[in-house]
Amino acid sequence: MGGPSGSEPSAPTGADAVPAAGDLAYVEIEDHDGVPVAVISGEVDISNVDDITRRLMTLPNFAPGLVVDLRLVAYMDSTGISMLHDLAGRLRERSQQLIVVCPPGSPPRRVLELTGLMTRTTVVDDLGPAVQAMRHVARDLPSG
Amino acid sequence: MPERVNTDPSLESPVQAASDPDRQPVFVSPAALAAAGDERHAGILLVDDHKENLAALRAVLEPLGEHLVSAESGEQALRALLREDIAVILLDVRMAGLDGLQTARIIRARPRTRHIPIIFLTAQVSEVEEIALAYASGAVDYVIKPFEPEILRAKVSVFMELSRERGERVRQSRARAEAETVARTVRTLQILSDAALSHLEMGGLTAELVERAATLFQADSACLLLRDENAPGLGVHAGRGVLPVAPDSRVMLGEGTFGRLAVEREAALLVGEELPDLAGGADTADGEQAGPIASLMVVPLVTSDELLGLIVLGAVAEDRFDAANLELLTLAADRMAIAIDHVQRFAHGRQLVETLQRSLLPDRLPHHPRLELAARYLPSGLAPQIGGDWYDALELDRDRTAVMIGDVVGHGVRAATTMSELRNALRAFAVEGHSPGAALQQLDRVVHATFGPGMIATVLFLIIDAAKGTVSISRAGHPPPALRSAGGEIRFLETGNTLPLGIDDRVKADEAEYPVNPGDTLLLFTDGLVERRRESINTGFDRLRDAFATAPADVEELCDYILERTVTEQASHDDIAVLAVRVLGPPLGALQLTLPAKAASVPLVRHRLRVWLNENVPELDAMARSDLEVAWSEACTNVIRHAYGPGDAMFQASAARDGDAVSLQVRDTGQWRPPRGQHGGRGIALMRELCDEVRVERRSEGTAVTMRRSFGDPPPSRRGRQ
Repeated sequence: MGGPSGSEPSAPTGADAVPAAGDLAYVEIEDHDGVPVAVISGEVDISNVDDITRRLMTLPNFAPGLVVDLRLVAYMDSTGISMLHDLAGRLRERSQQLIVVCPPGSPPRRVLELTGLMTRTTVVDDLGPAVQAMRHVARDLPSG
Repeated sequence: MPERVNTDPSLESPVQAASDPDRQPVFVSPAALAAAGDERHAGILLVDDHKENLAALRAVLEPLGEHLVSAESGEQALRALLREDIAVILLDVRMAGLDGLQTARIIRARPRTRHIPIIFLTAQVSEVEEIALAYASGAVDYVIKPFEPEILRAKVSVFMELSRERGERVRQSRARAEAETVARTVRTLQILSDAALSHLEMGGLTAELVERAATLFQADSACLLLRDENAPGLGVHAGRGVLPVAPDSRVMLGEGTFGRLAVEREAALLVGEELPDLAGGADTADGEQAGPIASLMVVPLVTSDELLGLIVLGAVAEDRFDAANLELLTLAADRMAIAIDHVQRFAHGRQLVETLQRSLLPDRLPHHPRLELAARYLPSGLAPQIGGDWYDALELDRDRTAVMIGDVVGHGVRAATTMSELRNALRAFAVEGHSPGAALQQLDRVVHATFGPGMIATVLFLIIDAAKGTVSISRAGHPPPALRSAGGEIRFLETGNTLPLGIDDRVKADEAEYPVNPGDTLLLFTDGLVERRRESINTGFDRLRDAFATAPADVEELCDYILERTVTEQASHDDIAVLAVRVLGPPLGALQLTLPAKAASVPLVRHRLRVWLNENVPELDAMARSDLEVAWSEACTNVIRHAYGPGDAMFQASAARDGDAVSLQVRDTGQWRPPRGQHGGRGIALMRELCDEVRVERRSEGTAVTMRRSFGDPPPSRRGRQ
C-alpha cells in the first residue's frame, strides 16, 4: 500500500525497442486509502486505447471517483484525450469524479493543454494532491 | 583596314575600288562638264604683230562664221590661249619679242594647248630652213604671204573640221566619263546604303558607314556624330583617323562650328581658318594619317525633317575636297540617314519584341525538391517577330507540378496575346484542381467562346506527381512528350489522338497516366523542333530521339544539347520551345513507409519516426520531437479511422527534412468518411496546433495530409501563449 513507485513497470520507450501492440502500455489499478488510482505507463494511441479503456472501466461503483496517473505516459495523442473525455462523462453520470495527474512539461500535458481538456477535467501536477482531493470528495459524499 | 567579304557579287566593295586605279571614283565638277559641252564655240587665234595683217586675216576668215581671237604678240597669244578655247592658231613667224617659233614651242609645251594645230604665216617660201624649224616647233601647216584668201580659208576650214571631230570625240569620251561618274555616284550611294542591309545593329552599321565613306571620298579621317536617346547633343558613334571631337565629349546643338551646322542643317566645306579647333580630337586610327587635317566636309544627316547627326570627313590635303565632293556627300548623307533611322527603328522594334516575348514566358520555373526543370525558347530565325510558342510550369501542391507547352498558330502580337490568355486560363484550371484532360476541355471552351473560329492552338498538359511517381498527360493536337528512362530508353508518351483547340469543343480530351521513376526525364517541345521543310516529320522525331538518347542528365545542359543537334539555320523558320523535367529520387535520408491501414501500424510508424528524427534531425528539441510524433500519429490514425472499409488496405507515410523544417506526409488511396461522433476533427485540430502548416488534399484517388514543422521557430500554439 505504499507509493506507486514500488509497482512501476518499465515502459518500452527506448528508441531501439520496437514495441509490440500488446505491450505498448500497462495499466495498474492501485488503491490509495480507498481512492482508486489507475497508473498508465507507456504509450497511448489508437492501437491500445480500447484495451486501456476496458481496464479503466473496472472501477468499483462505491468509489468516489478515479485518479488517472499519467506520470509514466511517454506518449499520448487525441485518442487518449477522447478516452479521458469519455471516461469523465461516464463518471459524471454516476456522480463520480475524474482527476488526472499529469506533470507540467510532460508530453501528455501538452496534448491535454492543446486540446482544451484542462478546462473540463481536473488536472493536477502530482499524485498526492490528487488522492487528497479525492478523499475530500469521498467525505462530502453521503455515507452508506 | 579590315578585310571585308561581300556575299553579293554585284556589290563593288570599297577595298576593290581603292586598289584598282581604273575603278577609283572620279568626281568631275559641273563646271568642267559644262566646258566640255562648249567645244563647238572654240575659235581661231590670229597672231601677228602688224595690226593691218590681223585686219586682213579677219576679213579673209570672217565668212567662215567662226569665233576669231586676235593677238598682237606671242605673249598676247599665250594669254589668250589661257582664256579662250581655241581650235586652230594662225601664227606669224617673224614677230617682235617672242617670235612665232618660240611662241609655238611654248604652246606645245603646255598640256592644255599641246594639241591645237598651228598654221605658220611666212613671207618667204625660200626660207626652207625656217619652215623646217617651224615644223619642228609643232606647226602642222604653213601659208606663204601674200596668201590667197580661198586657200587660207580652205586650210583653216580643214583644221576647224578636224577640231570639231576631235571635239566630238572629246565630248563623247567626256560624256562616257560623266556617265561613269554618275554610275559611280550611284554605286557610292549603293555602297553606303547597302551597309545598312547587312547590319542589324547600330554599332556595326555606323562603323561600316564611316569606313566606306572614308574610302570612297579618300578622306584621312571620318566620323559620325549622332544624337542619343539618353544624352543631350551629339556624340561620336564611329570614327577613324583624327576625330574632330573627343570620343567621350558631346557636341551641343547650336554651339561651336559643328553644333551650329547641325542646327542649321547646313552642309559645309571647311578649309584654313574656317576649320574648328581639332586639338581636342584623339587619334584612334591605324597610323595612316600623314599630318594635321587641313580640310573638312561636314554634312548633316536628316530624315523626314528630323536631325539624326552629322557626318564629318577630313583630309590632310587642303584641296582634297571640292564642291562636287560636298554635293555627293550630301546625297550620300541622305542615304546614310535613312539607313541609320531604319536600324534605330528596327533595333527599337526588336527590343520591343524581345521584351514582350520575355514577358509572355515565365521568368523562372518552379523549384521542386523532386523535380529539375529547364526550358528554352528560340525565336524564329526570320525577321524579329513575336512567336506563338509558349511553356509554363507551376507547383500545384507539394507533390504535384503542372507543366504545359503550347503553340498558337501564327505570329505577331495577336498570336502572342492569345498565347498569353491561353496560358493564364490553363494555369487557373490547373490551380482549381482539374485533371489535364478536364483542364484542356475547359480551355477549349474558352477558345471557342473567346476567340471564335479560326483560332487554332495546340497544347500539351502534364501533371507530374513526384510522390506517387506518375505523370498524367492530355494533349490537344500537340506532339507527345518524350520520356527517357533512367536506363536511357526513349519513348513518346502517346495519348489518344486529340484535336487542336479551336476545332470542336464537344470532343473530350483524352488523358493517359504513365509511371515516372527517379532518373526519368520528360521532354516537352513544340513542332518547330521536329519539323523541317521538305522532310518527313518522322525524320524529325528520329533526330530528336537520337539527340535525347545521348543528351546529358542536367536539364539545362540537356536543353542546349538537344537544340544544338536538332536546330539548323535553315530549319529555324518557326519558333521553338523545349522544356525538360528530370524526376529526382527521394531526398537523401527521407523516410518512406508503406503499412497496412491497421491500428497496430500507428505505434510502429511513430517508432520509426523517432529513430529517423534522431538520426536525421539531431538538433531538434524534445518538445518538437514529441509534437511531430503526435502530429504524425494523428494523421495515421485518421487514415485508419476514416479512409477505408474493413478490408485490407495500405497507406503510406513519409518524412523528409526540407532545410530547417521537417515535412511529414501521410497518404491513402481511400475515400474519407465524414468524421463521426463527438471526437471527430480533434486529431486535425491537434495537428494544426503542433505544426506550422497542415494541408489536407482530398482527391478522387485518395487523400494526402502534409505537415510541416520548422525548427527554431516555436509552433503557432506556443507563439500564442507567450
